[in-house]
Amino acid sequence: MTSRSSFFKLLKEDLRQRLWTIILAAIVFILPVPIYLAMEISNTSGYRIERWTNYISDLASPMAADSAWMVLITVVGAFICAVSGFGYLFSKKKVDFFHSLPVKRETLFAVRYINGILIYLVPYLVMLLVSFVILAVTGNFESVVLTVTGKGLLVHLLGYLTIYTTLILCVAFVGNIVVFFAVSGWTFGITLATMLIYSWFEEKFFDTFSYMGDVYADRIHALRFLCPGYFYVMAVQDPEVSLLLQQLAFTAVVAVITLLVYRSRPSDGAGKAISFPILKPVIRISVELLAGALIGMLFYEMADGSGRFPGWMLFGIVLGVVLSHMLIQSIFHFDVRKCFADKVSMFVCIAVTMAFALVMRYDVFGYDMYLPKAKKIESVAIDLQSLDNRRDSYIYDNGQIRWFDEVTEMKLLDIAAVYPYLEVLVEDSAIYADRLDSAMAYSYNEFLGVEVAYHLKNGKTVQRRYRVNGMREELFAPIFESYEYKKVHYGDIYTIPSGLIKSVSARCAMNTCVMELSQAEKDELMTVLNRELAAMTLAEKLHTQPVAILDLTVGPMSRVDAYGNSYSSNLNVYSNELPIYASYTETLRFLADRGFVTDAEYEWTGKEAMRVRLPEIEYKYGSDYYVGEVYSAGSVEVTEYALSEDMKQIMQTIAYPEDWGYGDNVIPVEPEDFERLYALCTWEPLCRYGDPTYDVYEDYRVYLDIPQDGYNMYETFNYVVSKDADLSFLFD
Amino acid sequence: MIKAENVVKRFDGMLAVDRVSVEIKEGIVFGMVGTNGAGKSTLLRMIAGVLKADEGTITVDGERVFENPAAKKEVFYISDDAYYLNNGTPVDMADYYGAVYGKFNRKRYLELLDQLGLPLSRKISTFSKGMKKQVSILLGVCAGTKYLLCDETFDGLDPVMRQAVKSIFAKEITERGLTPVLASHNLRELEDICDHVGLLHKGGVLLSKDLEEMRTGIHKLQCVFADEEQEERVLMGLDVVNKEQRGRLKTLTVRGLQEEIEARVAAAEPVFFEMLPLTLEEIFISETEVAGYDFKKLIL
Repeated sequence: MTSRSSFFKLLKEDLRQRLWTIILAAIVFILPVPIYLAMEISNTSGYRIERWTNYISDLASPMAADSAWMVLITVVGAFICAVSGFGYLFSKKKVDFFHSLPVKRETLFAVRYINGILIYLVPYLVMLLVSFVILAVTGNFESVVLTVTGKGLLVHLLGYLTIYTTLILCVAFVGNIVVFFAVSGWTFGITLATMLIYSWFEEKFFDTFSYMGDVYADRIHALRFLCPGYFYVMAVQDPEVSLLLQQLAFTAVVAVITLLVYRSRPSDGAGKAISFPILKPVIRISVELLAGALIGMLFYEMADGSGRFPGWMLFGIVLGVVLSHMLIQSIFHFDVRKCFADKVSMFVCIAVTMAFALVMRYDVFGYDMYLPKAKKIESVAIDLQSLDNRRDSYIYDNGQIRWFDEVTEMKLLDIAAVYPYLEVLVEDSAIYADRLDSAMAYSYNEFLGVEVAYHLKNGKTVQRRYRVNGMREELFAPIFESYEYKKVHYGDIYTIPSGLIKSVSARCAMNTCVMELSQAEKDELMTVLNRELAAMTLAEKLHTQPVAILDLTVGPMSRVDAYGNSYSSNLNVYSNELPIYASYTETLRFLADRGFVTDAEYEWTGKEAMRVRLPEIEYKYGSDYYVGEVYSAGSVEVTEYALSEDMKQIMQTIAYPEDWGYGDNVIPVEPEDFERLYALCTWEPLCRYGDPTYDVYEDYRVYLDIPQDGYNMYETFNYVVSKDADLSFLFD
Repeated sequence: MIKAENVVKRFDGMLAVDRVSVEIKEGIVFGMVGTNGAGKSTLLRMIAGVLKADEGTITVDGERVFENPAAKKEVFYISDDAYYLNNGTPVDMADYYGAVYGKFNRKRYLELLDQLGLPLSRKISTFSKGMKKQVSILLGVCAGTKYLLCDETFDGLDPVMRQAVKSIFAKEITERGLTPVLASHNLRELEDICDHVGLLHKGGVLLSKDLEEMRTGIHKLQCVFADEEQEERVLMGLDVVNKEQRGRLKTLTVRGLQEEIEARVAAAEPVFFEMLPLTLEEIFISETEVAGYDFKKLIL
């Protein structure tokens, strides 16, 4: 037994031996952040800059959970402390020294482990203390500082413990510093690398592989207990309590394993590549399999092997496995002559990797044709990606507007109604895949992407991304028109409380109307809108043009975007446009009562003018002909022309606003060309809002400019002219 | 007493120590000799609790030593390539050992450092090889343990220092029954220090005997006989282990009690005879030859 005083003496002596790490920790912790704070406060007060809303929390940001500086210190600190504390295991003479002492290995471990934590924690706390003093003295200490820094301390300390403990485990596994770095990389990266390479194969060889949503994030989350760095990365982005608790449990388990490994580590492991011989094949084979798959896939990509026998891929696999085998064996034996040791295992790795690659390449297990039996499906989620592709998928949740993945949120329970559509998706995807293989893919724009998630009764969720030939309207209509679909597809409209609506604007080609509403009016609008949105048919959406665009501005509130970034500034408001169709009679009446005039009711002023903007991309992507120089760009000029009354009629039939930004390719339209241009517009169904096959980049855009009275400004409305229209007369 | 029973140790399948059984009694200086790779260091590291024996048991005063601080408190191990704390001075080393060896005699340590002229506060990394060895020995002596394991520790010490260390050992043995265990590949380093010697060869103990016992049982005799008949008469009654001849001078290695040999030879009245002391090396040559080994191939 080691007495308590003896234990503390050992702690003290060990700290004395690690003086340089203490000094380093003191420098990186105690100097930069307080100096930054003092400088920042000095800058802002010196110039009398008005404090911004989050001034105090911004000041505390270098100590926050997402502080890059703290992440750097934490990761590098964990490496340094793990090596300085346990690196003696790499040296035979140090091992002889420490292991001959009359001290149990658990005690030695505890002494060094605790000191490694203290070297990080104590300067951290001193830094916080000094920073608090600076903030207090300058009158900038508020409770938010404690919240921000407390959360930061929790996240970084826990992150440090996780990484530090895992690295000690790596130290115990090896007997050489170089091998330690390699094994650390293996420990932290093998799961992620395996997942990414496997997903690469899926993405490459499975036409229905779905990479939408958070497929990678979900997978790595599922494998988080094999990926030590995951928790810290997630905590830095969003310190979620449940994940922090899991991290704590994970770290505790790793610490126990590390202690057991440390205790049972043979002292003669010092100087060897790997202390535990059983680990050698585990590391070697996993790396060889991954290297083979990686190089094989790289060769496949470089050789553009689609549609052909993947010879280059197989060659790459052989190369990857052999090279990695040679490298690892040379390291494990510290002898390059041993690079081909255990050849049988190498050949087995080659065979296994090849088998895997070929199984994936030829979809031996029918991944792409997967369609679970109807009776096994609990619910289905369907996202026809091009439908309403100008709307963002946001939902109001827990006091904030959150981006969401429709596939994740949707639960269509009427499987009988959905199943025929799913069958067609699988069939169409097979046709699309055949065309892909025949290298004709680019000419099949009519195939639309559909994301599907099968939530099975066994609790599993399977996700696929199909290609459907056109809308398949008759099959998709019952899905679109169901409440389960719409409440997710138009999630924001159905979830945002009316009380949060700040303002409402409605616009059409010729008119924009912004209105302030009372709470009662907001309630009325949302009730009517929800009802009419639910009743809207797919046919109306696809075959008629919207009468107006409704824009609900909501806020201020915090917002979480598609990447999980949170915006909590008070200045943030949320808006998302919603097309209003003719069937929304009550909604339109509501808007009309508050001054909104639709295009049909617009009264012509005679001041309207027009200009044409050419597409900037002059090559037709994926096709052979060239439209270039004939329609070369002119200077940006706007010429006013009076429009005749009958053009108003034309406008009303052709136009729907497309709110795209300005480009440079603007040409003036001569008076004699004007009517001809309009005539062209009428020949094509220009407004295709909601039409999934619509690709605006291949159409010309036509802008209608309406001069504002008393200002040299124009209100601009945008239209499109078909790409097939002959506009050469504009340049004659 | 340190007791190893049927101890086996393998490194990556290679047998380093093969069923070694040895007893090291208290209060003696135990020499452990053997060629490089004979297993001396491995055996010492096992006795020190650094390595765990694959088979067999090692006990110190009846207690298993591996991961047993109580047993290890009685053992101090000086490695052949000793580690000194980073930037450590002799005083730093004393502080460190003082934290783990409760009976560490700091006062005596400082006195001995002073006696040997070793600077207290200079970094050990700047010391010569011999000075480092001296620091190690002093640390070991002052740690207050019953057993001091020295692996090739005398390699590098000059004769004066060897004598000094020998006297320190003698004092410690007398005062508190210290038992130094000295491992070396060089027999000559041990012969003037050890009381008991164990010979290791290829991982096994070839022999382990008390040096005095060996010395009293075997003797070197130089003599000149008047004629062959006289020689035959003398030799017939002696247990001659080895016989060499230079001219008429014969050098015999003979087993038996010194008085009996002297009496027998004197009775034959040779032209000249003289009893000479045997070196440890010569004793070993004769002992191992009895065991069927060519000692010169085992050591030296």
